[in-house]
Amino acid sequence: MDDYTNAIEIKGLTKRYDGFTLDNVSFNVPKGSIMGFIGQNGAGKSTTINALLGIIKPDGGELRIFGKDAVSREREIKQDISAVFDELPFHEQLNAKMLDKMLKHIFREWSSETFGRYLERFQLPTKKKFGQFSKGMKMKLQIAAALSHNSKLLIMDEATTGLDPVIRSEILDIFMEYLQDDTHSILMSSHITSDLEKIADSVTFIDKGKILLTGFKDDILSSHGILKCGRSDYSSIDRQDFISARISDVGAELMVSDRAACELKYSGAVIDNATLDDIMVYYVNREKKEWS
Amino acid sequence: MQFFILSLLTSVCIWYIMCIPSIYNMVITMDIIISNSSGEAIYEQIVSQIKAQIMSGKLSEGDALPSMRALAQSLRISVITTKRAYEELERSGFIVSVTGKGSFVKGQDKELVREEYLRQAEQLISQACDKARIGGITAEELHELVDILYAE
Amino acid sequence: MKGLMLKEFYLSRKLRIIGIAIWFVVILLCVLIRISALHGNIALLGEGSARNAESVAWIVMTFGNSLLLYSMQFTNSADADEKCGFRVYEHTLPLSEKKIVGALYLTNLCAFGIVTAVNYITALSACLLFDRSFDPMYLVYILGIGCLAYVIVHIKAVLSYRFRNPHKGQMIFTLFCLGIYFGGAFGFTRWFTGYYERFGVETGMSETEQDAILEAQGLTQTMVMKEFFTNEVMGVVRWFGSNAWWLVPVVVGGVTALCYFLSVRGLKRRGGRC
Repeated sequence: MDDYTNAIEIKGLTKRYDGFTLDNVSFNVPKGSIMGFIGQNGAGKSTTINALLGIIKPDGGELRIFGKDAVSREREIKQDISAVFDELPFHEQLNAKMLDKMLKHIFREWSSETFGRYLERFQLPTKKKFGQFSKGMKMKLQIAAALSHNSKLLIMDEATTGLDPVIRSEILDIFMEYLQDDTHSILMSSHITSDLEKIADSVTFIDKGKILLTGFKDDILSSHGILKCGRSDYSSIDRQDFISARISDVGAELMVSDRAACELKYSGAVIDNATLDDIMVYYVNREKKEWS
Repeated sequence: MQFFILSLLTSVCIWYIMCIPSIYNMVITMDIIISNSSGEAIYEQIVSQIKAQIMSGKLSEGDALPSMRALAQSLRISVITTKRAYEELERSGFIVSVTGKGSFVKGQDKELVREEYLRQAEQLISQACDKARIGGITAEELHELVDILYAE
Repeated sequence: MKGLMLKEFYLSRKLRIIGIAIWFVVILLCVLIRISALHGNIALLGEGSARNAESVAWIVMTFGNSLLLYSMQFTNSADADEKCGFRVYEHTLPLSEKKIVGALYLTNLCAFGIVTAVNYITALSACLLFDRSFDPMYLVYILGIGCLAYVIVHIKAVLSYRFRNPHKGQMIFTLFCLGIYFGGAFGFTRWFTGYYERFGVETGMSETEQDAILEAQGLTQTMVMKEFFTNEVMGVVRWFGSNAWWLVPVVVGGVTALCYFLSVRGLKRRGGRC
């Protein structure tokens, strides 16, 4: 594989639809890391991923995968990319054995042994039709197929949404295994922020087609905090110091993005840790500034 | 006939008048700040903050506290937690709950307040003693410290 | 491409089995009819009825069966692909649109070859079974049916590849077929009435008037109709068969190639899932 630092480089990606615009989206996924992609429904996560995979054509911007241009060298790159979607994209009449035979002739490095081993590990029947699979089985099957052709990049669009915590835990373990090889990278969009808080190395937050945050997850979580105070104290807090505030009958909670500075400036105030969920909720309300 | 209407009107007026104090008391400013990282259970934090506000006079006798459900909604916690907090406050004699009407701050008996402060002081002194024992500081040295600090 | 051809193969398994079953049942029935006509109950009905029954059976076995097989064995999984999300997954595979569409077209080409071979054998057997002389033109007619089905399937495929919403494609296709049907019916009626006018019958006349004019020439309606088919229609077919038969593969090949390029272009323009 060629030498590259970032598995994915997106610069200034733009796509215009009726009523929605993907506006100058830029972020990188370093090689060997896992990037969590968060945002509300309709914020542009799927559109970005579709543009990356060549499913839609962008209006502007640069997309590079493995250091190569994602558009001109599409076919070559796709030998090493696996995509996992929220719904099983295979016909209901097919079964695992048929899929194996099909994909063997499509991917250069497809390994039927690896596929078979994953099927065994996930306890998936080889001759049962996909139409009879449960939701968890369908997801495990997609992942088995995704990991059986020696891919270097795994792209997942809401793949774990709707799965029970036990299966999700198993799947997260498999991703950690996949990342043991430091040439492997993962981009996953998800609503289940608790999973991302566990395993993501970096996080990108998109809202209404714009990137609000992108960077290392630990940095983002440690630099943000929720400052809690009484309503009378709230009025004395500088409006530039916080993203937005939730006002209730018994107090105010504010999201601050520079926790260290606020701890100094408003010493004595309670500042709690922020979760990715909190960050999403408070940032989405940043224009309203005060909400409840 | 007129007598009947008159008595009806009178009873309605009396009912309104009786309600006015509670309406008047409904607008209280009370702040509760819950910290997820303090290590103290949430209901304990609520209890200690309300106690502090009562003892400092921020909440006066007769003030109506928000209902358990309203407080749970404002703090986004379970109503079981707020119920537990209010029960604890009632047990310690700081509030009184009237079914159908809500919870109100109880008039503070000087003796009770003193009890509460004594209890808190005892807790803090106990902590000081623990530290002293670990640090090899004698009880006499502690007595001296108390005399000096109390005089300040 | 081989992988996708395998997919077509697996998906059409059900239809294949049904097609073979029906083909088998039809042949069985025709054999039974033949036996019955020779020795059984149909023979008891008399010479004429037996011959009619045999004719019908023969036509069904030769042409009906081939029509059936042709209409069932061409795959058009493009709609099913779209519905289950496979089309989107295909986009993440290292395959160009040409290969994706090519898999479908190649599969259909192979099916065309195999089904035509089967139909030829069936036709030969039918002639042997019903004791008729074998006219090589039958092979041409069967091929003609096949070409028609082949072209129709691929026109539909173009629409399936172009539109993400299968209903849109189906609607356009239905309108297209209706257009051809009405156009064809109109043209055919004009031709037919034109033939009638040679006998002095005009469209405005009532039934009795038409009968009167024809009787005067010693003809009945049915005779005229029969002559129309045997002379005019078959005349055109025969002329076509001997002079312009090469036109058919050229047209079919050209239309298929056009459909292929339109499919590829349509697939490229289809855009992603919303």
